[in-house]
Amino acid sequence: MEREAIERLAIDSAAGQLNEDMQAIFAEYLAANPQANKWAEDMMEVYKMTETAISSKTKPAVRTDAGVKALPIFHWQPIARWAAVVVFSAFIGLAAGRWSKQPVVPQGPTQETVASDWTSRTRYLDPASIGESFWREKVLAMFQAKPTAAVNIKIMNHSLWEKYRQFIKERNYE
Amino acid sequence: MKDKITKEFQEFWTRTAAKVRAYMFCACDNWDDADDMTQDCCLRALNAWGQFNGRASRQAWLFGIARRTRADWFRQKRRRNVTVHPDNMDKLQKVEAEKSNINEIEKIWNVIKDLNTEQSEVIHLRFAAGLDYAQIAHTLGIPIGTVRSRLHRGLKAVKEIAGERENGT
Repeated sequence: MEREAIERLAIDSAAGQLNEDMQAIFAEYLAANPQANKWAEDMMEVYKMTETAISSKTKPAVRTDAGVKALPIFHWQPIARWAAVVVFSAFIGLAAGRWSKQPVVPQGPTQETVASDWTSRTRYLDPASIGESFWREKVLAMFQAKPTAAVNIKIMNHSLWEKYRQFIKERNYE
Repeated sequence: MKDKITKEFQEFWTRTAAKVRAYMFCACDNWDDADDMTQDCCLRALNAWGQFNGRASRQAWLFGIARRTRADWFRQKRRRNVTVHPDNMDKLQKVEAEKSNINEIEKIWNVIKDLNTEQSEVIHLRFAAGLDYAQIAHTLGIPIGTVRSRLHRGLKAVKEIAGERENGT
Protein backbone atom coordinates (compact mmCIF):
# COMPACT_ATOMS: atom_id res chain seq x y z
CA MET A 1 0.00 0.00 0.00
CA GLU A 2 1.06 3.54 -0.61
CA ARG A 3 2.11 5.77 2.24
CA GLU A 4 -0.92 8.02 1.80
CA ALA A 5 -3.30 5.07 2.05
CA ILE A 6 -1.53 3.84 5.20
CA GLU A 7 -1.76 7.31 6.75
CA ARG A 8 -5.44 7.65 5.89
CA LEU A 9 -6.21 4.28 7.42
CA ALA A 10 -4.17 5.22 10.48
CA ILE A 11 -6.26 8.36 10.91
CA ASP A 12 -9.47 6.40 10.46
CA SER A 13 -8.27 3.86 12.97
CA ALA A 14 -7.37 6.54 15.52
CA ALA A 15 -10.74 8.21 14.92
CA GLY A 16 -12.53 4.92 15.49
CA GLN A 17 -14.06 5.06 12.04
CA LEU A 18 -12.89 1.60 10.92
CA ASN A 19 -15.14 -1.34 11.54
CA GLU A 20 -13.83 -4.31 13.53
CA ASP A 21 -12.86 -6.41 10.51
CA MET A 22 -11.01 -3.56 8.84
CA GLN A 23 -9.29 -2.74 12.10
CA ALA A 24 -8.09 -6.31 12.47
CA ILE A 25 -6.85 -6.52 8.89
CA PHE A 26 -5.06 -3.18 9.21
CA ALA A 27 -3.38 -4.21 12.47
CA GLU A 28 -2.25 -7.45 10.87
CA TYR A 29 -0.84 -5.58 7.88
CA LEU A 30 1.05 -3.14 10.12
CA ALA A 31 2.49 -5.99 12.14
CA ALA A 32 3.83 -7.55 8.96
CA ASN A 33 5.22 -4.26 7.51
CA PRO A 34 7.54 -2.29 9.80
CA GLN A 35 7.83 0.62 7.37
CA ALA A 36 4.05 0.95 7.08
CA ASN A 37 3.81 0.62 10.84
CA LYS A 38 6.22 3.56 11.23
CA TRP A 39 4.16 5.77 8.88
CA ALA A 40 0.96 4.81 10.68
CA GLU A 41 2.44 5.47 14.10
CA ASP A 42 3.68 8.89 13.01
CA MET A 43 0.26 9.85 11.73
CA MET A 44 -1.49 8.49 14.81
CA GLU A 45 0.85 10.53 16.96
CA VAL A 46 -0.03 13.67 15.01
CA TYR A 47 -3.70 12.78 15.39
CA LYS A 48 -3.33 12.40 19.16
CA MET A 49 -1.27 15.58 19.47
CA THR A 50 -3.89 17.52 17.55
CA GLU A 51 -6.64 16.02 19.66
CA THR A 52 -4.77 16.90 22.86
CA ALA A 53 -4.02 20.43 21.69
CA ILE A 54 -7.61 21.16 20.73
CA SER A 55 -9.16 19.50 23.75
CA SER A 56 -6.83 21.27 26.18
CA LYS A 57 -7.36 24.63 24.48
CA THR A 58 -11.11 24.20 24.46
CA LYS A 59 -11.35 22.60 27.89
CA PRO A 60 -13.01 25.64 29.51
CA ALA A 61 -15.88 25.09 27.09
CA VAL A 62 -17.13 22.34 29.34
CA ARG A 63 -18.88 24.00 32.18
CA THR A 64 -19.90 22.07 35.23
CA ASP A 65 -22.63 23.00 37.62
CA ALA A 66 -20.38 22.32 40.61
CA GLY A 67 -20.11 25.40 42.75
CA VAL A 68 -22.75 27.22 40.80
CA LYS A 69 -25.51 28.45 43.02
CA ALA A 70 -28.87 29.29 41.64
CA LEU A 71 -29.82 32.88 42.26
CA PRO A 72 -32.80 33.33 44.56
CA ILE A 73 -35.92 33.88 42.55
CA PHE A 74 -38.07 36.77 43.64
CA HIS A 75 -41.60 35.41 44.04
CA TRP A 76 -43.71 38.46 43.34
CA GLN A 77 -47.06 36.63 43.11
CA PRO A 78 -47.80 36.36 46.87
CA ILE A 79 -46.78 39.99 47.35
CA ALA A 80 -48.97 41.05 44.44
CA ARG A 81 -51.84 39.03 45.91
CA TRP A 82 -51.52 40.75 49.28
CA ALA A 83 -51.16 44.15 47.64
CA ALA A 84 -54.38 43.48 45.72
CA VAL A 85 -56.15 42.54 48.96
CA VAL A 86 -54.96 45.76 50.62
CA VAL A 87 -55.99 47.91 47.65
CA PHE A 88 -59.38 46.22 47.46
CA SER A 89 -59.98 46.67 51.18
CA ALA A 90 -59.00 50.33 50.97
CA PHE A 91 -61.41 50.80 48.06
CA ILE A 92 -64.23 49.12 49.97
CA GLY A 93 -63.52 51.30 52.98
CA LEU A 94 -63.40 54.49 50.94
CA ALA A 95 -66.57 53.58 49.06
CA ALA A 96 -68.43 52.75 52.27
CA GLY A 97 -67.35 56.06 53.78
CA ARG A 98 -68.07 58.02 50.63
CA TRP A 99 -71.65 56.76 50.15
CA SER A 100 -72.74 56.31 53.75
CA LYS A 101 -75.21 58.78 55.38
CA GLN A 102 -73.86 61.67 57.38
CA PRO A 103 -74.12 61.03 61.15
CA VAL A 104 -76.77 63.07 62.93
CA VAL A 105 -74.99 65.60 65.10
CA PRO A 106 -77.17 66.86 68.00
CA GLN A 107 -77.71 70.55 67.50
CA GLY A 108 -77.20 72.97 70.40
CA PRO A 109 -79.84 75.55 71.39
CA THR A 110 -80.42 78.22 68.81
CA GLN A 111 -79.87 81.88 69.52
CA GLU A 112 -83.63 82.47 69.67
CA THR A 113 -84.13 79.68 72.23
CA VAL A 114 -81.39 81.09 74.42
CA ALA A 115 -82.84 84.60 74.12
CA SER A 116 -86.37 83.48 75.03
CA ASP A 117 -85.06 81.42 77.92
CA TRP A 118 -83.11 84.44 79.17
CA THR A 119 -86.17 86.64 78.93
CA SER A 120 -88.32 84.15 80.83
CA ARG A 121 -85.73 83.91 83.60
CA THR A 122 -85.00 87.62 83.95
CA ARG A 123 -88.71 88.37 83.97
CA TYR A 124 -88.70 87.80 87.70
CA LEU A 125 -85.83 90.26 88.26
CA ASP A 126 -87.96 93.23 87.40
CA PRO A 127 -89.79 94.26 90.59
CA ALA A 128 -92.19 96.37 88.55
CA SER A 129 -93.52 93.36 86.68
CA ILE A 130 -93.68 90.86 89.50
CA GLY A 131 -93.23 92.80 92.74
CA GLU A 132 -91.48 91.61 95.85
CA SER A 133 -92.44 88.00 96.02
CA PHE A 134 -91.24 84.58 96.90
CA TRP A 135 -90.43 83.75 93.30
CA ARG A 136 -88.31 86.89 92.83
CA GLU A 137 -86.22 85.94 95.80
CA LYS A 138 -85.77 82.49 94.35
CA VAL A 139 -84.66 83.89 91.02
CA LEU A 140 -82.20 86.30 92.66
CA ALA A 141 -80.80 83.45 94.70
CA MET A 142 -80.38 81.43 91.55
CA PHE A 143 -78.38 84.18 89.90
CA GLN A 144 -76.07 84.60 92.87
CA ALA A 145 -72.77 82.80 92.83
CA LYS A 146 -72.92 79.68 94.90
CA PRO A 147 -70.22 79.18 97.49
CA THR A 148 -68.04 76.33 96.34
CA ALA A 149 -65.66 74.15 98.23
CA ALA A 150 -62.02 75.07 97.86
CA VAL A 151 -60.51 72.93 95.24
CA ASN A 152 -57.43 71.17 96.32
CA ILE A 153 -55.18 72.11 93.48
CA LYS A 154 -52.37 69.72 93.08
CA ILE A 155 -49.45 70.87 91.04
CA MET A 156 -48.40 67.93 88.94
CA ASN A 157 -44.91 67.65 87.69
CA HIS A 158 -45.86 66.90 84.13
CA SER A 159 -43.33 65.73 81.63
CA LEU A 160 -42.66 67.70 78.49
CA TRP A 161 -44.71 65.22 76.45
CA GLU A 162 -47.70 65.55 78.85
CA LYS A 163 -47.45 69.32 78.66
CA TYR A 164 -47.43 69.20 74.92
CA ARG A 165 -50.48 66.89 74.86
CA GLN A 166 -52.28 69.25 77.19
CA PHE A 167 -51.38 72.15 74.93
CA ILE A 168 -52.80 70.32 71.91
CA LYS A 169 -56.00 69.48 73.80
CA GLU A 170 -56.49 73.07 74.89
CA ARG A 171 -55.81 74.43 71.46
CA ASN A 172 -58.31 72.02 69.91
CA TYR A 173 -60.86 72.91 72.53
CA GLU A 174 -60.46 76.60 71.75
CA MET B 1 -46.63 22.07 22.24
CA LYS B 2 -44.36 25.07 22.62
CA ASP B 3 -43.31 23.88 26.06
CA LYS B 4 -42.50 20.46 24.68
CA ILE B 5 -40.31 21.95 21.94
CA THR B 6 -38.56 24.19 24.45
CA LYS B 7 -37.93 21.27 26.78
CA GLU B 8 -36.60 19.06 23.97
CA PHE B 9 -34.34 21.81 22.76
CA GLN B 10 -33.13 22.54 26.27
CA GLU B 11 -32.15 18.92 26.82
CA PHE B 12 -30.41 18.74 23.45
CA TRP B 13 -28.63 22.05 23.95
CA THR B 14 -27.43 21.06 27.43
CA ARG B 15 -25.74 18.03 25.87
CA THR B 16 -24.13 19.84 22.96
CA ALA B 17 -23.48 23.43 24.10
CA ALA B 18 -19.93 22.72 25.24
CA LYS B 19 -19.06 21.22 21.86
CA VAL B 20 -20.53 24.18 20.00
CA ARG B 21 -18.65 26.55 22.25
CA ALA B 22 -15.39 24.68 21.64
CA TYR B 23 -16.05 24.69 17.89
CA MET B 24 -16.63 28.46 17.98
CA PHE B 25 -13.51 29.00 20.04
CA CYS B 26 -11.42 27.19 17.45
CA ALA B 27 -12.42 29.84 14.93
CA CYS B 28 -11.71 32.96 16.94
CA ASP B 29 -9.35 31.89 19.77
CA ASN B 30 -11.29 34.14 22.13
CA TRP B 31 -13.86 32.97 24.68
CA ASP B 32 -15.86 36.19 24.61
CA ASP B 33 -16.38 35.99 20.86
CA ALA B 34 -16.97 32.25 21.13
CA ASP B 35 -19.72 32.89 23.68
CA ASP B 36 -21.32 35.50 21.42
CA MET B 37 -21.32 33.10 18.51
CA THR B 38 -22.58 30.24 20.66
CA GLN B 39 -25.46 32.35 21.88
CA ASP B 40 -26.31 33.39 18.34
CA CYS B 41 -26.17 29.77 17.25
CA CYS B 42 -28.44 28.75 20.13
CA LEU B 43 -31.08 31.28 19.10
CA ARG B 44 -30.90 30.25 15.46
CA ALA B 45 -31.18 26.58 16.39
CA LEU B 46 -34.16 27.24 18.66
CA ASN B 47 -35.93 29.18 15.91
CA ALA B 48 -35.26 26.43 13.38
CA TRP B 49 -35.94 23.52 15.76
CA GLY B 50 -39.23 22.66 14.14
CA GLN B 51 -37.74 22.69 10.64
CA PHE B 52 -35.42 19.74 11.27
CA ASN B 53 -36.14 17.22 8.52
CA GLY B 54 -34.44 14.19 10.09
CA ARG B 55 -32.18 13.48 7.12
CA ALA B 56 -29.13 13.54 9.39
CA SER B 57 -28.51 13.50 13.09
CA ARG B 58 -29.52 16.45 15.23
CA GLN B 59 -25.85 17.10 15.96
CA ALA B 60 -24.95 17.39 12.30
CA TRP B 61 -27.93 19.69 11.80
CA LEU B 62 -26.84 21.86 14.75
CA PHE B 63 -23.26 22.11 13.54
CA GLY B 64 -24.54 23.13 10.13
CA ILE B 65 -26.17 26.10 11.88
CA ALA B 66 -23.03 26.66 13.94
CA ARG B 67 -20.94 26.74 10.81
CA ARG B 68 -23.19 29.35 9.16
CA THR B 69 -23.19 31.40 12.36
CA ARG B 70 -19.42 31.32 12.39
CA ALA B 71 -19.22 32.35 8.74
CA ASP B 72 -21.66 35.23 9.32
CA TRP B 73 -19.71 36.37 12.33
CA PHE B 74 -16.47 36.53 10.34
CA ARG B 75 -18.23 38.35 7.52
CA GLN B 76 -19.50 40.95 9.96
CA LYS B 77 -16.09 41.25 11.53
CA ARG B 78 -14.51 41.87 8.17
CA ARG B 79 -17.17 44.49 7.43
CA ARG B 80 -16.35 46.22 10.69
CA ASN B 81 -12.80 46.40 9.28
CA VAL B 82 -10.86 45.79 12.44
CA THR B 83 -7.36 47.14 11.98
CA VAL B 84 -4.36 46.99 14.20
CA HIS B 85 -2.64 50.25 15.04
CA PRO B 86 0.96 50.28 13.69
CA ASP B 87 2.31 50.99 17.17
CA ASN B 88 0.70 47.82 18.43
CA MET B 89 1.95 45.75 15.50
CA ASP B 90 5.36 45.05 17.02
CA LYS B 91 3.77 44.12 20.31
CA LEU B 92 1.35 41.85 18.54
CA GLN B 93 4.08 40.11 16.57
CA LYS B 94 6.10 39.72 19.75
CA VAL B 95 3.15 38.20 21.54
CA GLU B 96 2.52 35.88 18.62
CA ALA B 97 6.17 34.83 18.60
CA GLU B 98 6.09 34.22 22.34
CA LYS B 99 2.87 32.35 21.96
CA SER B 100 4.34 30.01 19.38
CA ASN B 101 7.16 29.11 21.70
CA ILE B 102 5.13 28.41 24.81
CA ASN B 103 4.77 24.69 24.40
CA GLU B 104 3.81 21.89 22.12
CA ILE B 105 0.08 22.44 22.55
CA GLU B 106 0.35 26.11 21.60
CA LYS B 107 2.51 25.19 18.65
CA ILE B 108 0.00 22.69 17.29
CA TRP B 109 -2.82 25.13 18.02
CA ASN B 110 -1.11 27.88 16.03
CA VAL B 111 -0.43 25.49 13.16
CA ILE B 112 -4.12 24.55 13.03
CA LYS B 113 -5.03 28.24 12.94
CA ASP B 114 -2.75 28.68 9.93
CA LEU B 115 -4.38 25.88 7.95
CA ASN B 116 -6.76 26.71 5.15
CA THR B 117 -10.45 26.94 5.98
CA GLU B 118 -11.42 23.60 4.41
CA GLN B 119 -8.90 21.65 6.42
CA SER B 120 -9.28 23.56 9.68
CA GLU B 121 -13.05 23.25 9.53
CA VAL B 122 -12.89 19.47 9.29
CA ILE B 123 -10.35 19.36 12.12
CA HIS B 124 -12.52 21.62 14.32
CA LEU B 125 -15.63 19.53 13.67
CA ARG B 126 -13.75 16.31 14.39
CA PHE B 127 -11.76 17.31 17.47
CA ALA B 128 -13.69 20.20 19.05
CA ALA B 129 -17.22 19.17 18.16
CA GLY B 130 -16.57 15.42 18.30
CA LEU B 131 -18.55 14.63 15.14
CA ASP B 132 -17.95 11.45 13.18
CA TYR B 133 -17.20 11.43 9.45
CA ALA B 134 -20.85 11.07 8.41
CA GLN B 135 -21.92 13.97 10.59
CA ILE B 136 -19.06 16.15 9.34
CA ALA B 137 -20.00 15.27 5.76
CA HIS B 138 -23.60 16.31 6.38
CA THR B 139 -22.61 19.48 8.20
CA LEU B 140 -20.34 20.61 5.39
CA GLY B 141 -22.47 19.18 2.61
CA ILE B 142 -19.63 17.10 1.17
CA PRO B 143 -19.07 13.34 0.63
CA ILE B 144 -17.45 11.28 3.40
CA GLY B 145 -14.45 10.59 1.13
CA THR B 146 -13.79 14.32 0.96
CA VAL B 147 -13.95 14.55 4.73
CA ARG B 148 -11.34 11.82 5.02
CA SER B 149 -9.00 13.40 2.52
CA ARG B 150 -9.36 16.87 4.06
CA LEU B 151 -8.66 15.48 7.51
CA HIS B 152 -5.64 13.60 6.18
CA ARG B 153 -4.29 16.66 4.37
CA GLY B 154 -4.90 18.83 7.40
CA LEU B 155 -3.11 16.51 9.80
CA LYS B 156 -0.27 16.05 7.34
CA ALA B 157 0.06 19.82 7.13
CA VAL B 158 0.07 20.02 10.92
CA LYS B 159 2.85 17.46 11.02
CA GLU B 160 4.90 19.22 8.34
CA ILE B 161 4.46 22.78 9.62
CA ALA B 162 5.06 21.76 13.23
CA GLY B 163 8.19 19.90 12.12
CA GLU B 164 9.40 22.89 10.09
CA ARG B 165 8.87 25.27 13.02
CA GLU B 166 10.67 22.89 15.32
CA ASN B 167 13.65 22.75 13.00
CA GLY B 168 13.58 26.50 12.44
CA THR B 169 13.69 27.45 16.14
